[in-house]
Amino acid sequence: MSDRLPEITHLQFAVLSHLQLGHVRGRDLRRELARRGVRRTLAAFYQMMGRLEEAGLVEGWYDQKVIDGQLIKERCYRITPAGKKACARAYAFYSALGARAFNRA
Amino acid sequence: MRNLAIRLARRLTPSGAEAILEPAIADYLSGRAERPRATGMARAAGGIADAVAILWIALDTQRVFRRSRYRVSDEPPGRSGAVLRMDDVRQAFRILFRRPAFAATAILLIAVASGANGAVLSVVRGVMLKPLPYSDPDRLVAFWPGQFVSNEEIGYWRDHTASFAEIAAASPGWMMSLVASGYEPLKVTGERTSGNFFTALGVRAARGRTLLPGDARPGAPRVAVLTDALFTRHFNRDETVIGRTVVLDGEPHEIVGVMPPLFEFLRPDTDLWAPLPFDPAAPNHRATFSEAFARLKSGVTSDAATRELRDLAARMRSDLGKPQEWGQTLAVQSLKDSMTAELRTTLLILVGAVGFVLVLAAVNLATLALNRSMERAPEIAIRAAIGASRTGLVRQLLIEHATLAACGSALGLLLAWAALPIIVARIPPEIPRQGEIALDVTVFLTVLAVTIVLASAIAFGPILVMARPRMQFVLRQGQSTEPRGRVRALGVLIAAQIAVAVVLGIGAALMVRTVWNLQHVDPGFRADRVLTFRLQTTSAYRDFSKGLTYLEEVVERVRALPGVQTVGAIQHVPLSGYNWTATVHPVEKPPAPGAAVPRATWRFIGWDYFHAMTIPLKAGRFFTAADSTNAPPVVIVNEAFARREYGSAQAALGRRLRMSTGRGTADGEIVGVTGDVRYLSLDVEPGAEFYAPLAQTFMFPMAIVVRTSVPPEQLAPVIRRTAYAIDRTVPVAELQPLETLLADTLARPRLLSLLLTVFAGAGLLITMVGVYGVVAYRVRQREREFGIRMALGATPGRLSGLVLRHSAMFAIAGIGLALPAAWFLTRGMESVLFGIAARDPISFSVLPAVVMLVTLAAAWLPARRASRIDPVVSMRGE
Repeated sequence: MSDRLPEITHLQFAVLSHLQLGHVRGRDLRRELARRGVRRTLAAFYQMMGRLEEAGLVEGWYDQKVIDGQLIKERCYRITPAGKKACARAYAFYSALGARAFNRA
Repeated sequence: MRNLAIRLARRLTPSGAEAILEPAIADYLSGRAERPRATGMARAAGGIADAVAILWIALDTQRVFRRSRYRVSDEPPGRSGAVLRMDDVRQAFRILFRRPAFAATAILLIAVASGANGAVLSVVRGVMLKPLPYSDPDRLVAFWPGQFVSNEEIGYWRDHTASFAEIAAASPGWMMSLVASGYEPLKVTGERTSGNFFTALGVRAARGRTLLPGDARPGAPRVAVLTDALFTRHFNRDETVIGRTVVLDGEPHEIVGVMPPLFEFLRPDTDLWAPLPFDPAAPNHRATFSEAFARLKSGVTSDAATRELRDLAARMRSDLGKPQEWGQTLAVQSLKDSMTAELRTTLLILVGAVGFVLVLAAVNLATLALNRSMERAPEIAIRAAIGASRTGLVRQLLIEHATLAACGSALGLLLAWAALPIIVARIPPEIPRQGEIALDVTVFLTVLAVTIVLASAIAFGPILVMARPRMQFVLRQGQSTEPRGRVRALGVLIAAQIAVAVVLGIGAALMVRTVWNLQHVDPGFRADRVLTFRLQTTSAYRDFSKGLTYLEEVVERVRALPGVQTVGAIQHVPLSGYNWTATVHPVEKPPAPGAAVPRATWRFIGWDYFHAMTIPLKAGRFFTAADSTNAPPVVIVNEAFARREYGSAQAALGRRLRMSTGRGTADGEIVGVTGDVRYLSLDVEPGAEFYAPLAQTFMFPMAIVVRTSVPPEQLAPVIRRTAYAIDRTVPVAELQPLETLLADTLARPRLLSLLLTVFAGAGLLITMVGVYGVVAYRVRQREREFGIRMALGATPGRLSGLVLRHSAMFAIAGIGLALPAAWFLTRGMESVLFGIAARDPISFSVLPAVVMLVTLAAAWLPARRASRIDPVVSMRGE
C-alpha cells in the first residue's frame, strides 16, 4: 500500500463509492449525500460533479423524460474506469490505515 | 415567468459556468415536476417561487464558480455551500445604516404594509381558512344552504338517501328564559338540535357529555348543553352546574355538559343546545325552522350527493305533498364554504386592499432603491472596478433589500399583533369563528416570506440597473444628466404607485358612499327616542289570558312612567334579524292547484306599536282595543303587499286574506294599510307584510317598544325595575335604544369602509412620499440645467411650472393605468355596495382628481426649490 494520501477527498470517495452501484441521477446522488449529512446547494453540488467529470473520474450525460406533460432534462452520472481505480486506491488506503491503527490499539 | 427567469439566469451566468447552472436548474425543475400540479392562485404563486429559486441558483452558481478553481484533490471537504452568510447580512446592515433616514423610511413603509397584511390575514385565516374544529371537517356539508327544513323532511332524507353517514339539524335563535336557583333569571339564545347533532360533527364536550341521539326521542328526559361562554358568564365556571336541573322556558332541563371554548356552529351568539324532539305526531314536525347539515359517507362527493337529492325530489314532492316548485334548488355545499359564503366578498376585498398596500410599499422601496443608486453610484463603480462581479453586486444589493424587508415586516407584524385586538373588537358579533382569529405562526411566516420575496423581487429591476456601473458617469461626479433608463424606470415606478393609490381610493370612496347611503336610507320608522326590550316570558304565561294580562300590566306601568309617550309590542323588532313568513292569498284569488302559494312576512303587534315606531298609516285604520280575541279577525298590510295583491292601498281595504301560519289557517279582513318598513336589513327593499293584532294570535315572548320624550337610555333602569316589580322571574333582555340596533346593523359596512379608507389613506401617504422623493431628487439632479435656464431668462414661475408639469405627467400616466384596473376590480365589490353603482362616475372622476392634487402637492416643495435656484451657485461646479 502506498503511504501517500489518496487524490480524492472523503466526499468524492463517498460519491464514487455510491456510483460503483450503477449509474444514478444527480438528484438521487444529492439525496444520498444529504442522507449522510452532506448538504450542499445545487450549484455547489454540480460544481463538485463537474470537477469529477473534468478529472475523468465520472461521466455525465443528460437524460430527457416527460413528467406531467413537461419535458425535463436530468443530469445522470456513471463512474469511469479511472474513477473506479481512484476509488479502489482510496479504499485500500483507508482500509490499511484503519487496520494498522486499530491493530496497534 | 419561469422561462423568463431561466433566460435571465443564463444571461447572468459567466461563460464556463453553464456546466454548473444547467444541471442545477434541471435538478430543481425535476423536483418540481415530481410534486402534484397546482392550479389557480397556487399555480401562479408556484411560478413566482420557481422564478425566485432559479435566480437564486444563478447567483449561487456565480458564487461557486468565482471561487478559485481547485484541482480535484483540493476540493475543501464538507465546506458549507450556503448562499447567505452572516457576513453578508452584517455588511448589509452596515451599508444600510450609513444612511439611517433612508433605512428608517423604507422600514416604516414595509412595516405599515406588512402590519396591515398581518392583521387582515389573521382575520381571514381565523374566519375563512382554518379547518373547521370538527372531526374530519371536509366530509361535512351544509344541506340545502339558505333553506330551513322540517323534521319530516330530515326523516325522509335519512330513510331514502345513501350518500350520507349522518343527517343532522339545528334550529337557531330560540329565545328562552333560563332560571337556575341561586342565579338571576336570564334570557338566553338556544339552538334546538337533532339528537345526532354533536355526533355528526364528531365533537366532544369539555365537561360532562354532549347531546346523544336518544335525547331527541319523544318523552326522553329534557337535557341541555352549555357553551363555555355561558358557563363562564352566568355560572362562574361552577363545576357543580353539570347534573343540575334548571328551568328553561318553563320546563326543567338537566345540564349534561359544557362545550370547549372555541366550539360554535354557524353563529356565535348561541348560549346553549337542547334537543328538538323528533316526533311525527308533534304539531311542529312539519314546521320548517331547522338548518340541516350532513356528514358524507367516505368517498362520496358533494356533487354526487346533490344529484341523489335532486333525483329524489320528485318522489318526495308527491310523498310529502309539496308544491311543484319545491326542491328545485336542492344541493349540498361544503360546510365551511357555506359558513363563510356571505363574508367571502368582504374578506377578499380586504385581502385585495392590503395586498395593494403591500405592492405600493414594495414599489416605493424600489423607487427609493433606484434613487439611492445614484448616490451609491461611485461606491458601486469603484467596487466593480476593483473586481466585484456584477452578480456579486446584485447579490449584495438583494441581500440589503431583503434585510430591509425583513426588518420592516418584523416591525409590521409587531404592529399587527398590537392592532389585532382593536380590529377584532370592532368586528360585528354575528361574524362566526371570531375566537379563532390570532396572529399565529402560519400568518407570521407567510407575511414575512411574502414581504421579503415581493420587496426583493420588485427591487430586482432597479438593482439590475444599479449594478451596471458606469465609470464615465462616476468620474464626472454626477455632473451630467442621469442615464435615460433610470429616468424611465423612476417614471414607471411612480406611475405604478399613483395607479395603485387611485384604485385603493376608488374602492374606499365606493364603500364610504355605501355607508352614507345606508345611513340615509329611510327605514320606514323613526328610531330616535325609542327604547326597546324583550320580556322573555316563561311557560307560566303560556296560557293566553294569563300572558296577555301580564303584558298589559307591564305596558300600563311603563306607559305611566314620566318621559314615556307611547308603548307598543311586537314579536321581533325591526332589524333584529328575525323574520316569520306565512303563506297568504286573497280569499277570492286561491292559488292554482300545484302552484306555489304566495308568501309574506307576518308580525303580530299590540298596543300603540305603529305610533311608537312612527310608521305612517296610508289607508284605513290602525288596530284598536275593539280588535280583541273574540272580535272578527282583522289584519293590516303594508303598501308593498297592497300593491302586489290589489294594485293600491285603497283597493286593499275591506278585502279578506287567507293566512296559513305554522298554527293553522285563518281568514282576516284588511282594515288598514301602513307604510313599508325595512325589517330585515337596511339594504333590503321591503317586501309584502301583514300585521295581526296580538289579541287575535297567540302568546309569545314579546319585544316592547317605548317612545320617549327624554333620551331613552335614561329610562332603562326604571323600566327594568318596573318589569321586575311585576315578576322577578321574567328576564328583561336586550334593553337598548332602537338607534343602537340600527347602528349595529351598519357595523359591517362601516368596518369595511373604515379599513378601506385607512388603507387608501396609507396608500396616498406612501404615494406622496414616493412622488416627493423622486421629484426632489430630479430637481437636485437638474439644478445646473435650471441654473442655465434661469440665466437665459426663464422666470421662477416657469421653472416651478416645468417641475409641476412633469409631476402631472406621472399622475396622468398612473391614472391612465388605474382607471381600467379599477373598472375591472370594482365589479367584485358589487355585492357589498348599496345605492351606488360599482362604476360610479363620481368616484371614478373625483378620486383621480384628488390623487392628481396630492401628486402636485407632493411636488410643490421641490418645484419651489427649483424656482429659487441661484444660477451662479448652480454653475460654479463647471
